[in-house]
Amino acid sequence: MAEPSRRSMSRPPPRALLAAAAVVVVALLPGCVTVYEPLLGLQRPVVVNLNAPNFEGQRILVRCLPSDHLPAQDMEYLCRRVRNILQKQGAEVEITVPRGARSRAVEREEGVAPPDLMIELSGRLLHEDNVPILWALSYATLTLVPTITEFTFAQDVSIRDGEGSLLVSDSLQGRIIQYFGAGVWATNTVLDLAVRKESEKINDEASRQEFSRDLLGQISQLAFHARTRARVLRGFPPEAKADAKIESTGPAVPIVPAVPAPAAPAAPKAADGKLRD
Amino acid sequence: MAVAQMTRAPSSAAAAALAALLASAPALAGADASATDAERLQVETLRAEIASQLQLQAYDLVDELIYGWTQRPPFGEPTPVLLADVSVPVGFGSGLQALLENHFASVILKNARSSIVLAHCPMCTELVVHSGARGTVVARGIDAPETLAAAGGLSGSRHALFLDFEVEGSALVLRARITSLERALPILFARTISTSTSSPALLRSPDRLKSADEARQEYLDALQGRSPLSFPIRLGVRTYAEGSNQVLAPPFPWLSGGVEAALTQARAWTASFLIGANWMPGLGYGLMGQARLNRLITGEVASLTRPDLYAFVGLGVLSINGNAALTFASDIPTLADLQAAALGVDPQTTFGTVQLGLELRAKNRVGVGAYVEWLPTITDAPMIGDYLNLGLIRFQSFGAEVTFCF
Amino acid sequence: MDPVTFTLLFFLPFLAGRVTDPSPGFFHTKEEARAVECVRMSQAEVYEREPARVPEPPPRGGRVPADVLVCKRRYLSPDERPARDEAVLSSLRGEVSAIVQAASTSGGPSTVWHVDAFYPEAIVAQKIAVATRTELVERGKKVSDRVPVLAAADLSVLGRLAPQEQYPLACARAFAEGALSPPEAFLGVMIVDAREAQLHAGVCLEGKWRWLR
Repeated sequence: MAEPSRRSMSRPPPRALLAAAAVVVVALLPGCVTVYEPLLGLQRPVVVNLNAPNFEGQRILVRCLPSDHLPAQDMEYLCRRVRNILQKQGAEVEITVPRGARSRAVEREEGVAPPDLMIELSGRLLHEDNVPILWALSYATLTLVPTITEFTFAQDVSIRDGEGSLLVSDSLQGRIIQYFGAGVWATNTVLDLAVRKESEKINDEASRQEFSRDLLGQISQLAFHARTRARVLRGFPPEAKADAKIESTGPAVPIVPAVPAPAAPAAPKAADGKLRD
Repeated sequence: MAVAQMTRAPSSAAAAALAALLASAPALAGADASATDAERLQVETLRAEIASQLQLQAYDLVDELIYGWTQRPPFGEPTPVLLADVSVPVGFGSGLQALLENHFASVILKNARSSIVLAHCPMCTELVVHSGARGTVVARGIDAPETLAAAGGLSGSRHALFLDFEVEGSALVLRARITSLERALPILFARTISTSTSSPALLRSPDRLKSADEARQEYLDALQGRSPLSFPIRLGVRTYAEGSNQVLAPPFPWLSGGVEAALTQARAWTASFLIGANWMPGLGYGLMGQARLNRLITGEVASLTRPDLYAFVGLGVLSINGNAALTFASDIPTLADLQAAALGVDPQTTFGTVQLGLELRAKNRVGVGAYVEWLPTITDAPMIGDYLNLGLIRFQSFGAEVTFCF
Repeated sequence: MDPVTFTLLFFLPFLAGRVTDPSPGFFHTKEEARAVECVRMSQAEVYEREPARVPEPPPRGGRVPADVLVCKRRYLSPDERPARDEAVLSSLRGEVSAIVQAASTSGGPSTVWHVDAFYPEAIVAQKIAVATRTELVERGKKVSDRVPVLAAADLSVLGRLAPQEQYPLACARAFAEGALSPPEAFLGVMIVDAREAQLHAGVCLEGKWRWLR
């Protein structure tokens, strides 16, 4: 006697299966692993201490230019982040997010002194990749096979002085890869918990922190370069807050074959007079 | 150098992800300072590997410099030159300096056409003190040539060569200059040469230096001159899954040969056609025809320096003669079948196969592969079971093979 | 689950592709990812330089041209050397080229250039000076390996001044004391603040100091 078909007895109804799959997919929506990889420029070492008053007495205008890929709302958010980091370093910062083609030109109120530095930020999407077949595979395997979406962006930074002369410009490139799926999320979580040390963990929060640190660090460094370049080209005009406490690398022993010993460093003091690193 | 090729398609999801990445405070979390012994060992191993690579690249730069001198000598006649200083990259020690000095000396000695005759100057890097009317000056010997000349330290040479190596990101840069040892120390010759980690060391023979362009052209010729056709000889064995009667079929060895063609210059797609045969004493013989389509999955271009992994799909036709054919019969062989065989009437079966597999190929000369096979017409042979049953497709055979290409 | 197994096998080629991807994840750590310099370039450009690495680009009018992520391993990891030294040395060639380009407008065909660098680390200062001298000679300038020396008393005074006063005064003293004389010129390369990783430069010509950048 033939055995009853076990398959026909245990197969769930198709509608329930689809519903279960939908529930699984929705439940896994946080199951996205975001990886950030710094490319050109973003990997460069940052020398300025982001907690020190590097821009004390400086008036800085930050303009974030929207584009097709980065709308005004997102650029406004970027501008606020940049403002916060520069204010933390002692600068007086004003931000603008021009809207429309005409407002790309800098508009200044009459009688208002130009800023010391003008930072312009604009973004470009260099590349995007999204393999459609992976979505099909992911659906077929209930997200055991992950989907992979990646894109490469460039953040262009131009810094000018108050008269509009270009002091510094650079393009900072980075890459974001997003994996979505139960399999990759579970594997990554296990690796984070059991294998990777703290600095090597890969998750959304870590990627955000690294990206912020890299981007804002590079912008601060470029702004500082612009500041010193402006001072050099203008013949070191006196500034509102004395630079006497800034470390000088000028020649203690100039024009000799041996390189001079640096002057004894004096750590910059905060407004409360306490020393900071 | 890792290269990943992509295609382009715009989307606004990128903007959302990019903005989301700025959604937290820029915590300046310090790196984890502690490192286990295993991690330190790993770092040291990696550092040694990098140092070796850097040493070879530095040798390349020296070879390129001397090759340039053989083509355009800095002096009209053989001229003694002191090797005054070899500076290694910041962060590297005197070990590398000694290696570079020795390599430079060995190559320059074998290339007299460079017009450089190496002279030895042990006092060049020593401190010398000279007291005169204007005061006492303490300097390296090479920076005070008149003092060195007075002390007889120049060995009759009137020129000094300085080699400076520096790591600038992913590039190694050599800056060479020749200075005349007179009071003004004029620089007579200077050249900057750089290389990067993406270009492998040329490892030129010091007796027969050639320019980087010539070496690159040879490399391109080797790349493009690879014949699109090759002739593989393959030795393999097929095993079959245990059937319902719990009798294991014997493994079938196969020897095959044929032709393989690269469908693209990069050898990312190849196709092959082979015919094969086997003979098992007492069990009969077999004939086989097989066609495969291979796709490179470790990159976009077949490598000249490392093994390549191909995935393939293939179709085959096997004809088995003799008692071995009974393995594929739908009934268990009876005494009548064996009697027929004894009378000289050999059983025979022919069937088709579909293969899926992977092959690791080294320099397109030797390959090792494994595959699973579906026998679509063998559905109810009691001696043939399934290794992998996917419902519609049942993989009943597993094969392993070694391939030699000519 | 049989279709799932089949699908997982089908995913293997994509997985193989991720192995060569330099981004951090399952096959590379963050430290390994940061030890690699990557930039996106067009396939045609990469094929021109490294034909063994990418397939030949499609002819014009074919499918959409692709771009390629080109990665090169750094010889040293980013934290191997101090941050400022690493930043200066990594961009040394570009910086020196720009400085020499700016300095080329000064002096004349018979000007003999002296070069020195002022940087807290002696070894790095030497690298900067050597790079600048080499670049000047490669551009056809007359360059001396000798660095002008001032009297000890001058040095002790100059050491107490700010950069904007040091270099002009040192320049004037050099010509006054005869350490430099026409047609000689001095090109100084330095950083003026310990928090920066860019190089400034100035030219001392006939006793007058001029900042270039």
